[in-house]
Formats: sequence, structure tokens, C-alpha cells
Amino acid sequence: MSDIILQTKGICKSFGGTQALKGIDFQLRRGEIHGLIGENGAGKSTLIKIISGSYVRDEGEIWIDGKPADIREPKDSLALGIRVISQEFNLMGDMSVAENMCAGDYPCKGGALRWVIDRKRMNEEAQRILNDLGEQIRAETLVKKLSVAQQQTVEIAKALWEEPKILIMDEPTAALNDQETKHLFDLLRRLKARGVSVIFITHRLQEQFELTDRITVLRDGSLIGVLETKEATADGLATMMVGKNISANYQKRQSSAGDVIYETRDLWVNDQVRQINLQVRRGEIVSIFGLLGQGQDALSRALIGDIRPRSGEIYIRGEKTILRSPRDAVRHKIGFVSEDRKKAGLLLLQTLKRNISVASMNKISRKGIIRSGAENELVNTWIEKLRIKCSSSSQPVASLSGGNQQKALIARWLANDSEFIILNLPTRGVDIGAKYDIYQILEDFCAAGVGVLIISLELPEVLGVSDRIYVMRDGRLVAEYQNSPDVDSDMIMASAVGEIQPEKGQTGGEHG
Amino acid sequence: MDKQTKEIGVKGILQKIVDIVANGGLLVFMVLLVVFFTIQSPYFFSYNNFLNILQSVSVIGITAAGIMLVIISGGIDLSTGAQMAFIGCFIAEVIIGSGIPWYIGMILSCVVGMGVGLINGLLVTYAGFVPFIATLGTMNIIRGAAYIISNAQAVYISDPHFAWMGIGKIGSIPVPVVLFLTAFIVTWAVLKFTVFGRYVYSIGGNPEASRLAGINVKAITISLYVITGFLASISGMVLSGLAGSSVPVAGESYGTDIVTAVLLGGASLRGGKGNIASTFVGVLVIGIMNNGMTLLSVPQFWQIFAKGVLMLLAVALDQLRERRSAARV
Repeated sequence: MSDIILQTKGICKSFGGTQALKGIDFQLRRGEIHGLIGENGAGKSTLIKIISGSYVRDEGEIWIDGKPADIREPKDSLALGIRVISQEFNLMGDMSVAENMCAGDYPCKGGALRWVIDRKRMNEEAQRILNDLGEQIRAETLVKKLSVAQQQTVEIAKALWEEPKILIMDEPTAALNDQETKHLFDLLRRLKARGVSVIFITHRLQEQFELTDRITVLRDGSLIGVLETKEATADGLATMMVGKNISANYQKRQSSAGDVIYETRDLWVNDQVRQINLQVRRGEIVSIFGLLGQGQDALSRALIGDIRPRSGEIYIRGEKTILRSPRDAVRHKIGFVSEDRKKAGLLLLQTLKRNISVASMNKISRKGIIRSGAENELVNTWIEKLRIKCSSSSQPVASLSGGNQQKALIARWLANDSEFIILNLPTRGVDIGAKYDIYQILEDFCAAGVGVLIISLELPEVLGVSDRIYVMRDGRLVAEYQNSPDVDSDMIMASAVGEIQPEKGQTGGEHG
Repeated sequence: MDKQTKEIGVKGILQKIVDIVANGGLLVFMVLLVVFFTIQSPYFFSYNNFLNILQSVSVIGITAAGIMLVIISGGIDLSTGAQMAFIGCFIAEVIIGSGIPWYIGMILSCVVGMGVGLINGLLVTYAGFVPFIATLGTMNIIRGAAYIISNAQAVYISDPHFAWMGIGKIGSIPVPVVLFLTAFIVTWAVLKFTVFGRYVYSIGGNPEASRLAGINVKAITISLYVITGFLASISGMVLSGLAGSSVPVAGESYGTDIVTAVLLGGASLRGGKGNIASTFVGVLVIGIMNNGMTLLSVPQFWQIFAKGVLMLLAVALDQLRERRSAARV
């Protein structure tokens, strides 16, 4: 029995003209949790897809347990005991947890009834696995009734239906709050103790330090280095990932806030989201921080008129305004970058140019006819200002990296002269380099008099960029903090999880 | 070993054929059809027959321009064939008998078509019906209405103005061909140069993102069905003009012919994709198939059979393109 359970030798893969992987020699030890990090486009996903058989490598070898393995299809990797849990869940909402877990491999009754599913045995086996994981989920429950975190657990339980040798997790914590993440880590440690080897992909360095034994860094399709986690530092890893020296902590400039541009008074959105009083001034970056699922999405949709609030008032530039649709919001020069880039942001079939210009039609057209000169000028200006990496503005937006796609969406609202921009999870699935670019962009426009509202699940982000912080819990804004270098971050987290009584104006934040 | 390389060779050639067909090979397919029919029938390759093809394909071509817009926006309209039949009956039974002047009659016909489109549009947007189901329902309602008002009898239309829509000429070009080309040129210009055209593509590609970007998705969707209804009325007038009478049973296959033509032209039923030049070729392919098979005396039932196969091929092509573009990302 070899100490190395998975080894790749000189893996290469190209798509069209671009070489996504340039000879990767990766090693996974038996029973270790191995972190895999790198910016978007570094080749992490491609490598995983080659190991799992979704892509076929152009060159190189894969060795499992000391033997060469010819993985060409997903079923090859499944047969070798490799399980991948991707960012997007592959669960059927209308089926039970147990049915999802066995995924077609139903236990059947014997004899003449061998075509009949043995539900009792199926549920018992599923329940045993769930109990082993220390989960309070019943095997008969329909998946759609579970929370996101619970669904993730079901994904893991599904992978355990047949004891895997290698478990690969692609950004599993993106949708989880801190407690759920901690719970997931405990679970992975227990699996590790049972001899399962884990590859763990995440953007969050902190999680790598907390969980992994070793870390492999990829950049531009090459393997940059392998470190023992206890010897790694955040700055060191960040430098390896981006290839230049950047500070892991973002420091904000001083701002000078102007008039109130957007204000809500006692806004009731639905049963959960209620009593919302918030205010954003020109030249100010305001964050709403909260754990996942506190009503942030509904609130953001209400702020742009996509959900009609039950009661309460919205004031835009000091005037009472009723927003009937997102179109109304756009007319009032409000931009909105949604939490789901692909589903509710990008026009994925179209070019970068059209994605940027779509909200600026009245600027670049006359009597319904588009002036293509004006369009090109507008689009190119913003591509340059936001440093969007592309071969030309006619490049399909789908072929850009996540960070550049996000920049394109921000460019959409800057191009139409929005004066107030709401961003829900602005840096979700965005690599570190682009993340700081985005913060810088927001600050620049803030300085030019734009008001910015960020909805975020990440405390470091909130502390790094905002002038003022609201904390959202269970549908309400429960606290407000003026940000400063010595703001008590523990206190903010405590009000987000509800450990302390709501307290307004903790460090001098008051309503204007 | 030898066998294996041979297999790769065959596979490679198949792959090549698939590549050619998938990448604008529709034109190649059309040329092959022309060559085939020219060899098979002495009457096929002539100026007059080509004019014939253009004239008869105009009936579906005019409406195909609208259907293409609907399909790009992510919808579909199955009711147009029935609309064409209904308009003929409406003219024969209602307009002619009542002594309404011909020009008012034409306008009324268009209004009726646009009304049907409006209903389709409202069902799809405000009632939230799947376009396939909504227009399947209106298709049957309108087909039924055509039978009801006509008692399923074809009635001679004596007014020469309506006949002109089918058999008249402007210069030396048949009126239907002029209408067909006009519909395509206008649609081309709309898609290429206007904000409206942009929005059609956006809505088809991602309705949610379009709505959040401030596009009035419902209004534009409705207007597309109304445009299609209008064009179906024109098609209906051309059809009864060509026949010289109302044709209550007409257009049974037109609805599917049009969709087949648009899909052959590369528009995707998932929305967001489609262009006018390829759709034009798609329409021509349908026209050539119809004409050629008739010249070869292929029985009507086999013609329907063949067009069914063609429709599935069009969808298979769409799938193929989708898979290839997915593999590229």
C-alpha cells in the first residue's frame, strides 16, 4: 500500500488556443486533507475535472494507489472511489434524502421482487450514514425542505453511500455561515480519521489554515508550490497565488460623505424582512453584514422595486419615491448587481460589449436606433477604467473569468451614470486580485459622489471597505456601527449571530 | 491495430461531415437538395420554377420572420398556421358578405391577427403559461373558429384586391415574394440596428437578468407575439389570394413548417440565438423540399413524413451546436 493515494504526472490540457494546465505534478497522501488554492482561471477546476473524468487530459498520467489509472469518463473515477462535491448541488428537491443519497443505486428486494425498491432498507442505510455524520436529518425528508447547509450535508452523505477513497470538495463553504462551516470541518476531520483523503478547494485562506494538512498553489495552469500548512503564511500564499506582493488586508481610505441619496423609512417587505431603516449618502460605502439567509436577498430586491414592500417609504435624493419595477430603479439611476452573476446578472450568450451597454441604451441610441460609434466609445472607456481583461469588447462574456465578469456588471451601472449602486455579494467566486480591484473601483466612484450599498457575508470584507456597517439578523437591521480601525469586530459578529441584545450606535453611529 | 485506425478514419470523416453541417452547412445542404432535384426532375431547374418556389414559400416565409423573433426571445408560437386559415375564412365569410371596402377589410384582418397575438402574449407574460401550451391552446381555438364560421367549406373570394395579395405582381415580381423579402429585410434591420432588437436577444438569453437591467420584458414579449399575429394575417391573405378562396383546412402543416425552417436556420429553442440570413435559407430549404417532392409526385403523406424527419434533424443540429459550444468553454 502506497503512501500516495493519488498522483498526477505532467497533466496538460488545452481549450482552443489557451493552455489551461501546463504539466501538473500533484500528489495527495492517504488520509490527508489537502488544500488546493489559486485565483480563478488558475486551473483548479480543470484539474479536478480531469481527475473526476469530466474532461479528458491531453497529456500526462494519473496514478491511483500506485497504479496507473485511465480516467476518461466520470464513471471511471467513480469506480476508483473518487467523489466530487461541486459548488452547485446535484440534488432532486422533490425526492427524499435517502433517494438522493443512493442516486439510482437503489437497494432492491430479493427473489421475484428484485425490481422493487426496498424502501425500508434504503432508508435505514441512509439514516445510518447520516447518524454517523452526526446529523439531525431524517432520511425520509424531502430535500427541498432542507436548508442550504443541510443540503450540503446530504451531498456529502451521498458521496459516502459507497465509502469513497478520495473526496474532492470545490468551494463547499461559499454558501455556509460560520457555524455551518465549523460543522463541515468537524465532519471532514472525522472522515479523515476514517482514512478518507480529501482535496479541499476554497478562496478563503483562513479556512485553509484551519483545516488542511498541506496546501498546493496553482497559478496560470502551473503548480507553483506545495507547503505544509503549519509553515504557510497568508501573505506568502497570497503572493504565490497572484505572483506579486500584495497585502492580505485591505486598508480603506478616508471618505467624505455628502447628501443622503437613498433612504428607507420603516420598510416592511414580507413576514421576515421588516422595520428596515437605512440610509446611504453620496460618497459613502455602507455594508449590510449578516449570516446567510437573514432576508438579505428579499431586502435587496425590495430596494430596487422588484418586490413591492407592504408598507414603509423609500426616499431617493430626499424625495419620496415608489419603485414599481427594477426599470423604475434604473430610471432613478440606481444600479443593482445581484447575488447570482450567471442567473440574474450576465447575458451569458452575448458579448462583453452588450453586457456593459444594455442598461445605457438611451445614452447610445437615437429614436430607437443604436449608434454603434457611441456604444463602442462608451464600452471601451469603461473596459479601460475598470481594467477588464479581455481580447476585445466583442469577446463572449462567458469566456471571461469570474472577476472580470463581475467587473463587467459593475461597469454596466457605471456606464449609465448610476448614482447609487447596490451590490449583493460583490466578490462571491472572485479571486483575490480581482477582489481588490473591485474594492478599489467602488472607492474611486464613491469618491466621485456615488453611493454604494454592499450586502456581504464576509466580515473582513465589510471591515475593509465600508464607512458604516448595518448588521442584519432575522430580517431586521439589528445594529449599526461607524467603521474605524478600532471597531470591535467581535461585537459585530456577536450581533449578527444574536448573542447580544441589539444595540444601536455602538461606536458613535447615529441616524442623520 | 489496423481495424482501430480504420475506425478512427471513419469516425474522423463523420466528424468532418458533422462539422460542416453544424457550421453553416445548411447552405451546403440546400445546394445538395437543388442538385438532387435537378437530376431527378427535368422541370425543377428553371427560372419559372424558382419563382414558383419563392412564391409558395412566401406564405410561411412572411410569418417565419416573426416566429424567429419569438424563438430568439425564448418563446414559440404554434398558432400561426391556424391563424392563416382563419383569416381566409374571416375575409370570405365576414368581410366580403358585409360590403365593407377591401382596404378596411385588410386592416380589420390585421387587427384580428394582432388581437390573437395579444392574447398569446398576455397568456405567456401575465398568466405565466409556457408558450408551447398557451399557443397550442389558441391554435386549436382558432382552428375551431375557422371551421365554425366557414362550416369547413372553402368559399370563393371574388374581390380582386384580395386575389392581388396572392397572384398580383409588382413589376415582374409576385406580390407575396415582395412581402416575404420586405418582412425579412425589416426584421434584419430591427435586429441589427435597434434597441428593440438588442432587447429581444437579451430577453431570450436571460429574462431575469434583462428585467433587473431595466428592460420591460413583458411589454417586449407581448409585442413580439403581436408582430407575429400581424404577419400571420398577411400570410393568411396571401394564402387565400393564391387559392382564390378561403381555405379552412389550410395551414395544417404551416405552423410546424415555419418552426422547422427557423430551427434549421440555427435559432435555439433555449432562446437568445438566431439570425435572419440563416433563417432565410431555412425557409428556402422547406420550399425546395415541398416543391421538389411535389414535382417528383411524392405522395402527400410521405411529404409530411419527410418533413417530420427534417424537423427532428433541425433539433438534432441545435443540440449538436449546443454541445460543441459547451465543450469549448
